[in-house]
Amino acid sequence: MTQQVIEQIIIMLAAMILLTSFGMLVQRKIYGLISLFTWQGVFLAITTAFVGYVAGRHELYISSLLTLVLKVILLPLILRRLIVKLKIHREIDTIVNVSLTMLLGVGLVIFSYQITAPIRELSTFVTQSIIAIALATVMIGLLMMITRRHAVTQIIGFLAMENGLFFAAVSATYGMPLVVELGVAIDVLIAAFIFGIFFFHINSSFESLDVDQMASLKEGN
Amino acid sequence: MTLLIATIVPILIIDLPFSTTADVIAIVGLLAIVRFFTALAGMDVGTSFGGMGASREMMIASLAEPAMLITVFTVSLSSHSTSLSQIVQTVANSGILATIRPSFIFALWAFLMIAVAETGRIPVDNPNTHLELTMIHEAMILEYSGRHLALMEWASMMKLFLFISLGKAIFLPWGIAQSDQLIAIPMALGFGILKFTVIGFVLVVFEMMLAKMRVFRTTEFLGAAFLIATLGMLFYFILES
Repeated sequence: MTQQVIEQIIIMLAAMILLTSFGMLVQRKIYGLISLFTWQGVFLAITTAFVGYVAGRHELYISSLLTLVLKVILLPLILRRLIVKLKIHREIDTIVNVSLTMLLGVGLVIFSYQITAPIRELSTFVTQSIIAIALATVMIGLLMMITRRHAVTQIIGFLAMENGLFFAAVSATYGMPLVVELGVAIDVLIAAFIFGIFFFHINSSFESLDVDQMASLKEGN
Repeated sequence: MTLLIATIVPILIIDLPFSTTADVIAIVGLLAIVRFFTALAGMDVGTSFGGMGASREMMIASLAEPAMLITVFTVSLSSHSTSLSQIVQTVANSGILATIRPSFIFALWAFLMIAVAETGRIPVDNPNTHLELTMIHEAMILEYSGRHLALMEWASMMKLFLFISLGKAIFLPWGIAQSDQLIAIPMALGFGILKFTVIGFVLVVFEMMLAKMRVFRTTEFLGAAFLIATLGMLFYFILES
């Protein structure tokens, strides 16, 4: 395969990653959300492998494999098991206003394109154009955490944000050192376990995973 | 009006005599006029069904039109022209590899969603239904009969034909006749019939697989189309420039 074809494939995959984050932003059903998250992991792993091939950095293959194992197999499995255990698999999260959230997301894409302009001009990598997409993925994950009420969907937003950060590292500097990446991967895995424990506690004391219920903890209510 | 659009859309050849008079934006406008008069005709009969159908049609139209325009802009960005003949020529000469770009594929995706909504096919509207809760286009022309009904049905079928040939011209232009040579036109005709057969088959398969969605869900459907079209345009600037 020629360089140009691979670059086109990378660009296409970057577009698909951003599309899955938009999908997660407006998806109501929790199961649909998890499968979108899985797809984002798949695209991320393939993109990382292709970037590693183009740049000649073979340690990116290990990162890609790590992403595949962690974000495509392990995390969705943990989340699915949690949902079954908590008996919330038919629950539907409320979104404040779908079209407004979508427009905010588009605004965030333009915003991140604007603020990554200096990095883009300095960078000489083939991935210089997708830094903006990576930053937009982070921002949309943040927006998802803000607009959602349900604890599980907020966590998926957080994990999507982590995906975006990993993507930004791959596109801006061809990935972090392997030690850092391993550390982050283990952190995310442990965070998922801790979230699981928290979910059980929240669920048993509030009988709901709606974080608005926690406002009753405030004094003076 | 539909006939006027038909003179602009390149179905077989690119170099049309009317192609300089109007561009794609004008086509969107002409389609809006068609819809406006159909809605007026629906309200003209004075029954509640006509008015209901007209208001629903206008709701869909108001959402589909901006998305349609953004799609058109996305496609015209890469050919630096809003003239349809120019767009088709650019795409036809650029080869298959150059069209595997995010902006092009997202524009195609959004266009398919909008075409389904505008021509009133499943899942947005069902052209065969007479159930009062679901009909949109049928509600407007419910009170018409005889030759008037025939004209309206003809117009809506022509609209479907035009949308298919518009999509075919912009997104699958290979085999279209570019020169004045006589041999190119029968070849383009052959390719055209082949493409129409394939697209018609795909349309039927999709209509069998899907169920009609609720009327209030169409806002989200078209919102998604708008989002995809906008993302396509942004990708052109972010990824491809």
